[in-house]
Amino acid sequence: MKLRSRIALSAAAVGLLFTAVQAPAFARSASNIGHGTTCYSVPTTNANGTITYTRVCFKRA
Amino acid sequence: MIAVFHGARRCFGALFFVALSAAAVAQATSPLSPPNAANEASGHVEAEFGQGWERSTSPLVRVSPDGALVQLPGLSKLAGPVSRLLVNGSREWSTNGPLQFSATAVSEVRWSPTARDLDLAFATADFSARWGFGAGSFSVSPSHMILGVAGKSFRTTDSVRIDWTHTSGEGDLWSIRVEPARYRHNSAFVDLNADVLAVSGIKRWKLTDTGLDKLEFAWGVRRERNRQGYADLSNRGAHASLEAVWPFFGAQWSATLLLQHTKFDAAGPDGLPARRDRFLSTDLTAEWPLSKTSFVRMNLSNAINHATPSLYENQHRTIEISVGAHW
Repeated sequence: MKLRSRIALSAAAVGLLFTAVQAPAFARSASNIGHGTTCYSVPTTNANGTITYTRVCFKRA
Repeated sequence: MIAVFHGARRCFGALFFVALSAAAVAQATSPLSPPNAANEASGHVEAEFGQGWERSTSPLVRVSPDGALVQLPGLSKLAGPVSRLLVNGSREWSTNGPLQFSATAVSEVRWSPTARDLDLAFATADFSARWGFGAGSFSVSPSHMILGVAGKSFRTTDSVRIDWTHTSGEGDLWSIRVEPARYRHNSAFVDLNADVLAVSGIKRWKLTDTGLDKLEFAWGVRRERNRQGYADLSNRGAHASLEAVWPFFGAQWSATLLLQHTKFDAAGPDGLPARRDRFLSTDLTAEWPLSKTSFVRMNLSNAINHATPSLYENQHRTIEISVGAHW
């Protein structure tokens, strides 16, 4: 197979992959993990000294 | 190829073990999660199993005997039942000062008994150091991710996330992130190796007075530069999404709309014009609690990519019901 054609087909495959990985990413309220997103926890210190963790999820690079 | 496959399996196994280890450590050492005082450790563990059905369609493309791409009438269809298993373990360590450390390991495997090309495995591990400054915090987080498709290793990603996140006591939040990343692929896809720089942000509103639990707007821009010098694979893009979360009929519902536009730098092979993608996805999820630590969730999603040239068009539909627990 010609190199450039092979690259184009590879790029098409990646397009399909992105669809599969990213589509259901954002609506998982509790666990939107693994579908092209990453989550991390941010601590917030309350007035009484307790710490509350807030979860932040975002689309990967 | 067999060696690559076995290597990928070992990597997934190792990260799966990390996730499970994090779960065990978190359970053993942290009866209270999150911590209720400074200088404590906390852990979070989550496991989820889902059963669904997926369908992907894309143009039918072949390579002619002289090596040129030829698009044929009709669509290439891939559909079948898909099972999914997710394990996620995280642990945070607070100090007496403004510094906090955390580690996270996630592993997810999807497999289809009738359409093996839908198989997908994903694992990521990251470590984070976060400094608090009043209501805001600054974090640096290196991350390693591996991705396998159709039973074969596909991509590893190494990245460093730098973020500033600002929270309020009312639940509002905004955040901005910069994340340089490097994509590496196995020998069959080495032409896709690339360096990526992404900048993204989130604004979250708590809107309890309106009947909504949450409204979240997310955005991002990215630049991908092909490391082999193929300008037709280098690209820049932007995305925006809006998510609404609300309670209804004993469940927490969420709906998300995501738009993404990607423009490639140069014309492709065989006279193809420079690629442009316009990606749109919609997602609806409902989650019912079964107990304090378990839930059942239903998800519907549809994603469509309108592309120029049409070679790159595709559509992906998913319906899934899953059960999960977190500790």
